[in-house]
Amino acid sequence: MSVQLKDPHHEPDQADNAGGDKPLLFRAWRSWYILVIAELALIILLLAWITRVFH
Amino acid sequence: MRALDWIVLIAFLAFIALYGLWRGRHSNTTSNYLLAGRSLRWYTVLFSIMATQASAITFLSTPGQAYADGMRFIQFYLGLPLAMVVLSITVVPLFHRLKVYTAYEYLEQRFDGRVRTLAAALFLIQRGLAAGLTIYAPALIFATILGWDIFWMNLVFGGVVVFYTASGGTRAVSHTQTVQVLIIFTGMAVACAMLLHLLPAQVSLLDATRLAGKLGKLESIDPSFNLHSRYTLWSGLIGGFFLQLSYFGTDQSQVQRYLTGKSVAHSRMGLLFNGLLKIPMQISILFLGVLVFVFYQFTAPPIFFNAGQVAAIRHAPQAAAYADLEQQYAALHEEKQAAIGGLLTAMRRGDAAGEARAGSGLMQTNHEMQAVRESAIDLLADRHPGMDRKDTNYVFLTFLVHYLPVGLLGLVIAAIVAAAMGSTAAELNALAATTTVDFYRRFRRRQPQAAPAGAQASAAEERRTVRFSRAATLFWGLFAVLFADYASRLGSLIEAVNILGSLFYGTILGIFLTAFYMPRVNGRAVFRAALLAELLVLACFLWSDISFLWYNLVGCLAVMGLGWLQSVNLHNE
Repeated sequence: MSVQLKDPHHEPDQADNAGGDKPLLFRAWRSWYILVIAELALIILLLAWITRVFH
Repeated sequence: MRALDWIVLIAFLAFIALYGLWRGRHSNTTSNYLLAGRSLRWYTVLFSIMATQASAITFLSTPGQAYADGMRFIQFYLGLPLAMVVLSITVVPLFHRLKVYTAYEYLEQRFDGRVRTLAAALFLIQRGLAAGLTIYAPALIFATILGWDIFWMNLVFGGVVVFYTASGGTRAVSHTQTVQVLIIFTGMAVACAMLLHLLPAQVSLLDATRLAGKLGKLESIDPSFNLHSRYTLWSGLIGGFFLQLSYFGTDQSQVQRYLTGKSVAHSRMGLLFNGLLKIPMQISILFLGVLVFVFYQFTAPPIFFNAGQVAAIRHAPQAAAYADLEQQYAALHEEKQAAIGGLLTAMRRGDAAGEARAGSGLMQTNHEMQAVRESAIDLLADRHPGMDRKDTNYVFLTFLVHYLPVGLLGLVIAAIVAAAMGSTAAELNALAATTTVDFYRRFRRRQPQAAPAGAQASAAEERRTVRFSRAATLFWGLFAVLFADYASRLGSLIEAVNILGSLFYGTILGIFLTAFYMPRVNGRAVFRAALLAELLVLACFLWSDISFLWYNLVGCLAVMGLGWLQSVNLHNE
């Protein structure tokens, strides 16, 4: 995972990592990951409920 | 299509071409041309990712899938949010740190040139063929329903896409995709509003939903663990997870989209928002199909939605028999109106016994209608053996053409064309990038005279590389159109695209996961393992009835397992 490419054809980027690695809205990326997984769980539960109730 | 529809569509095409040209006007270096100078914000990355995945097939075929088969196709996407999280944690920071142009560059550093070439070649084969489907699928459907000429459609739509993709590169592609996504959402909202408007006045959205549920169209989750069932909760969560991991983590048409992010944060936000929005978007599209189904419970549907096949039988010896079946079908449709009325009344009153009685009567009539429809399809197949017995791709467009008012039809058609253009542009862009970076530049670098010396020579090399990328875009555009003709012989087009992807994605993902997590496995071992795994996946496709989503898991685990065994073997030798 720590391999570095050494390619003379790769010119420096115009905006090299501008803005850093800070997420929007939340302080930590973990909160975003939890939000995405929680939404998935909610959708599955909702769809399962719809499948049962509207059958 | 009336004059106003044509004006809307042509204005949209002209705007996209000019906007793409303007946005991509400074794409004169390799980084600018292939990665938009790594300068895009997260929402442009997000729209670009969404527009790349959602092709015209998504909007033409998915509502048809729901019409025929209900909402259970949604399970295909359940693994996507999990894949977005895993990629945000692992792949995004890695690719940003390495400053790669393509995902396959990483493989040469981790393994060797052979593995990089194999993965890049598998991508070119798979994506080159899929690009053919992306261009041809909407053309075929438009030709059948609207009577447009396929040659001219390919020339105009394909020509516009190649024009702005070749001239402006990734920057043009990403910015036009943002506009295209907005048009797509508008078009879908218009179609949904029209469907609700066209339902009988006494039928509310809740009534429509209940009716659809009663007729089995809202069965979205199947929790059984059945390897032979195409869409279940587990095939979606496990097989779908590996498919999406491979698609977004190793398919250059998606990797290139988030490599344009101006930082790790912008790329991550793009992917994570895609994880949040993709399933609700697909639910909306599938629900459109369910509403079309409900609409055709009140309005007589054609017995077969592929108008081209139906028109052909009108002048054949089977014409009288077909007309007779159409009459039977229409009579049954009239007959079931009483049952629908009874069912809606019972549901509103909360009369469970009446609901069950009317529901079973309605199901019975629908079964009878299905039997008449099968007989009609048999007649069509008698006249034209080998024809596609599925008409799911034609359902939604047939509805749009017959029931949308002038002007709005042009807008919704523009939305479907926008989806076709967005995904095709990203595919051609990625094919050109892989051809340039993973083949052309490596080949040139091996030639001593090709090595740049000094700033002037380096600038000349940059210009040459951009020129080559433009030529590669043009080449892949032509290739896609030429291959496209084969698509007409496949079944449901969205499934065809997904099945084609699943034949290769597992192997490519296995190579990448081995690279990330199995440091003892070397290039020689993974190369052999990948070849064997690909043969295994093809064997599953040809000689087993395992659902295609599982191919991703089989291919991936085979590469990792065989790679590990090979490395142990080589180590012992």
